[in-house]
Parts: sequence; structure tokens; C-alpha cells
Amino acid sequence: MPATTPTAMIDLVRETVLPDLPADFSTEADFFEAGLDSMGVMQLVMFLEERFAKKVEPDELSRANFRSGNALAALVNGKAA
Amino acid sequence: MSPAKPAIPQFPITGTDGFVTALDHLARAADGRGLDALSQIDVCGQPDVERLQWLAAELPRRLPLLHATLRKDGLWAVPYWECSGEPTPVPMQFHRIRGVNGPENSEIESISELRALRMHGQRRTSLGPPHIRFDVVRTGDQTWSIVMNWSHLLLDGTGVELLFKHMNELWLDPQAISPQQPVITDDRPWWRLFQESEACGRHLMTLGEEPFVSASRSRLVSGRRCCFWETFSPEETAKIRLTLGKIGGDMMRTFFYAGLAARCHQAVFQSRGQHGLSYALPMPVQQRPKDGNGKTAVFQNHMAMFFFILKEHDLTDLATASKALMRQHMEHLKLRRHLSFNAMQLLMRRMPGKLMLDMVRLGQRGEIASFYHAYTGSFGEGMTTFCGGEIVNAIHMPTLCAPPGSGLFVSECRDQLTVTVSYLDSCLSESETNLMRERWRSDLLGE
Repeated sequence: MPATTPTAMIDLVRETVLPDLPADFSTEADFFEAGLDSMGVMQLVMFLEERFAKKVEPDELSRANFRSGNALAALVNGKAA
Repeated sequence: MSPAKPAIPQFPITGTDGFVTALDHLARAADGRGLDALSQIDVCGQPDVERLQWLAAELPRRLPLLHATLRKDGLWAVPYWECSGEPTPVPMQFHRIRGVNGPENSEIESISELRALRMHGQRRTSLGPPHIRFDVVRTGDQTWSIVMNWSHLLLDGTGVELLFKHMNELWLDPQAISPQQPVITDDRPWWRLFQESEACGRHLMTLGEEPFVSASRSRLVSGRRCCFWETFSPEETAKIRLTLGKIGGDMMRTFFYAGLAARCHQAVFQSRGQHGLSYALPMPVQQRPKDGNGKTAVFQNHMAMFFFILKEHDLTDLATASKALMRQHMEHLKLRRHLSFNAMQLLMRRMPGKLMLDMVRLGQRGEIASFYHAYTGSFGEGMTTFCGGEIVNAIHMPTLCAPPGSGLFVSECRDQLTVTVSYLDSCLSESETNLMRERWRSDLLGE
């Protein structure tokens, strides 16, 4: 599967858990400040597995890995913090 | 022609409120007291009596649900909060601990004595105000505490933290905007809710097939309401985070502490000779709506509920338990069981409380769950000051009814983790709470 992009991750978050995310949401902006919560994170884990075949391991389930479009893209592309 | 009277604000109960209302009914049937709880903040400095009294008077003027009454217009009607009462000040009493100098006339032996008094609450004869009350206690020359006694009918632990947070906002800025309570409506017809409940119903029936028990052994019993807790120092809490960090990332905390609650209860049940049991665990996950200003709703219970079964082999250690919970959680999400359970709660909120619990217990051989658990995270979203002083610590002391008769709750404040066991003394003994403490110290600190 080709590498994903931070913008694609923002689109995924908007589509699945934060529909009110502004159109100009930057790739560095904080999803948690925009309303992402633990329930949303677990839903994202499910969608990452379904759409990107990315199985998130327990040790990857950290706030840092779900903070922004950049962080999420790094996680999916196997370059997580 | 006289002008039309303004409509009285009404707030239908949420699906979660419906279940809490049923539990409140169970608690009142047992000993006449509702499902009330305490929350306490310990603060540095001295209490400013005049400004605290201003806050007690200001809150009901800004937050009409504080003087609302829970009503139901017919046997199968949706109950609702009607904000028809007068915004009278929230009851607030001032005390000092014996030996501490201060102007307060009420002298008490200890704050634990006051908490015990409040925890047993007053016999409830109506579902009207006051839903909260405050006790302000001067505990030393430069320390004081505020204890909020609150009804779970109107608030949950997170809502209480948001209320404390808003009190502090008003302290800092008397013109601060107050959160508005959104009116949550759901127009789905009953048959649609019934259809959508099916997946959850099937899941709950499978839970009922497992031989799980609670500390109350499925009995409807009353008892003295007790709380026992341990607050870990910042150094110990840092060590605990290291321990948990070896199992998984920080977004796993909900599963760590739910697994811890199960393992602590396992220690008790095994000491009773009950081996090979399964543990049925309901886990609430907050889903709070916001108002038009982006402020989170303070009142009502807003939770998605997930039900887990942990078997003996899932509980060999904390890592195994946490991962088993995470696995089951992912399955629940994939099958959208939380949405199905929401639909079930919305359907059942019309039921009289006794009927709702009778139905639940019928499917679970007299039980509701093995125990309760909640993890409320960082107190007040990380607040560090309260009404003019620096916060030393803050804790919740929930109460519960039987079954199940016990629960284990985890909270954090200023990098100090607190583990609290809430129980009825008819269901759990003091020595059994010590067994729990040994288990949590062993799991969290490796002792």
C-alpha cells in the first residue's frame, strides 16, 4: 500500500470522528484540542485497521501518535514516535 | 391581554440517566437514600467565606438545572427535568477542625467524620432540589477543603469536575459565560430503537450465560456506605506510569484501570474460595455534548457503555487483562454495540426503574455486573487552582447499591493517582479492601 499523507489523515479524522474539523486544519494542529477523545481514538484505531491494514499495537496507543495529521501519517507509514 | 408566560425549560433525561434513575430507585428502596456521592478538593490558603457564599448564590441563577425537579407525566412517558423552582442558593456550611483557629461556629472532630455523615446522606422524599450541597472546612492554618455532596441523578463525576472548574472560572471572572445545557432529543420511534437494540441485547444475553458473581452475591441488600482510597505521591505515580508504559501507550489507561479493578476483585473472590469465575464489567466512556460556545455540558449522565467479560485466564496479570479489554473493545466498536446499547437505553428510559432492573437482573441471574468501575482522568481537565488557592489534591467518593455492592474507581490530580474502593459493608469487609490494596500496590508498583 502506498504511503499515506497527513492531509489524508485529517480527511479520515473529519470523516469518521470530528465532522466539524475546519477546512484549513493544519497538519500540525492538535486533534485533541479540536475535540478528539479516548472514544474517538479507539474508533480511529478501527478505521486505520479497516482502511489502511494498519494494526495499532498497545504500545503505539499513545496521545503523541494521534495528536496531529503528521503524527497519524507517521504512525500509519511505520515511522511513529 | 397579558403577555404569555415564558415556557418553563425542560430537559428530557438521557439514556444513561434512565439507567442511573433505576439505580437510584434501587438505592432508595434499600435504605431510603439516593445514589449520592461526594467529591472533595483540598486547597492551600484560607477560604474566602464571603465570595464562596456569593458563588453558592450565583450558581443556581446561571445553571437552572440546579433547581430542577425530575418529573414523569405517565407510566411510559420519558422523564424530564423541569426547571420550575426558585434559584435559591446552594446550601453551603462552614466548619473548622477542632483546634484550628477560625471564625466558623461549627467545630468538627475530623473531615472524615463529616464525610461519613454526608455519605449516608439524607432520606430523599422528592426528586427536587437541592441536588448538590457544599461543606467548606478549615483544616489547618493554611489549608482548607471543599466537599460537594451530589446526586448522581443530575451529575456524574466528570460533570462535577466541570462544575468545580466553572466555579473557579466565576471566581476569576464573575462575568464569565456559563455552559448552557443542551436539550438532547431523540425522535426515533420505539420500534426503531427496539430494532437497533438487538445487537446489544444478544451480547448481554451471552454475558448472562457466563457464571459471574458480585460481592453482594446477587442479593438486594442495604449496608453502610464506605469508601477506602489511596493517593499515590507524584514519585509513586511516575513509577506507576513507567509500569503501565511497559504494557502500552497512555491512551490505554482506561483499559489498565478497568483491568486493575477486575484483578482487585479477583483477589477478594479467590480469598472467598470462588475460583474459575468470569467477571462482567461495564465500562463507561464519556460522550458529553457541547453548547453553542463550545463549552462542555455540566449536567446529566452522558456515557457510552461497553460490557466486557474477563475470564480467569484473562486475569493472570495486568498486561493480559488490559489487552483482553482492548481486544473486546475493538470488537464492540466494529459491531457498533455501543450504538445499539445507546438505543436500548433510550428505549428503556421510559420504564419504571424497578421494572428496568428486574429485566436486567432476570437476564443476569440476579446480578447487574461483577462490580462497577470508572476512570475519570485528570481532575477538572488539569485544573491547578480553586477559588483563590492552589489545589493539593482532589478525589471522588462514589456510592453504590447492591448488587453489585462494590466498585473500584481511579482518578488523577496534579500527578497524583488515587485508587478508590466504594462498597457496602454488607458486601465487602475491611480485610477484603486490604486485599484489594495489596493487589493494586503489587500491580502498580511491583511490591
